Amino acid sequence: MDELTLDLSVAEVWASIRETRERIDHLLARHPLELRFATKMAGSELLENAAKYGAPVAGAPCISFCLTVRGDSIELITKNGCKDLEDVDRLQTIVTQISNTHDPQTLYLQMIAEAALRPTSNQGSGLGLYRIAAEGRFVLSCHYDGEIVRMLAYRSHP
Amino acid sequence: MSERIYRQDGLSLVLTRWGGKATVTWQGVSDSRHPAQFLTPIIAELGDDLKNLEVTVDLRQLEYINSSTVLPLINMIKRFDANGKPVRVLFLEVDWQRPHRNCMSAIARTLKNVQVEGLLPA
Repeated sequence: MDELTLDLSVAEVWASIRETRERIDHLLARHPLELRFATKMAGSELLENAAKYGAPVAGAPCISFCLTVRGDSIELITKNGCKDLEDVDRLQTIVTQISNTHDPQTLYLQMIAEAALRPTSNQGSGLGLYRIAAEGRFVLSCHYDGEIVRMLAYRSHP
Repeated sequence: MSERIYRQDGLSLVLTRWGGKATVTWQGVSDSRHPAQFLTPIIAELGDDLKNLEVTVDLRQLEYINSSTVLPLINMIKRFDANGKPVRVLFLEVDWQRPHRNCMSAIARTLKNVQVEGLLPA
């Protein structure tokens, strides 16, 4: 199968997330429903995270989103600026925790149970990344350099 | 029988009451940035209004929820459970709803009155 790509540079992120899911759905129209949903969900959650924790910086004035579909794999990449090192630390801690588990589903359930016990705060639920790994079966990695966060979600498929 | 609808953006919650029973049907898409701002007051209101009724939370018409909606949804189930009446939670037996159903089933084991069911599409 030829490589399929969706490249977006997003300024008004929240208004674009639903449209991005629709674009992914269209791009993956010939793929199994489960894969389409997983990819839409993962792309949506990555964009939401980028919108919540991102900020414009010189090297990344807006959020970029790239989906690449190859014959045997799917790759999602978001890039956004971020000056808050506490947010970056938190993000990297979560990604490391997910990478170190053999059972993302159980980890996701644990995180939901813990989040349900916490008092409500303005901070996000923090569940999106766990969900991408558990429900979407994507492998996550995170890189921070020059005030830019680069998130990668990768999944192989038959 | 009476019906009340709560709606925001792409999400609707339809409350149907008849006799000693009520159904809260979630429809559409919940992908707003702060879904709890819309849902928390509704959960409080329905928790009180439906305290003497058997409640079904029907999620089969949900098309998508973001991760920020997961906790308010769980809070709704827990609030109904606290009323001490039977609570049914209905999911569709399709790929995207299955993880949510499994998650809710695990949580329901810690609750006294909640039964989670996955139903095949009509």
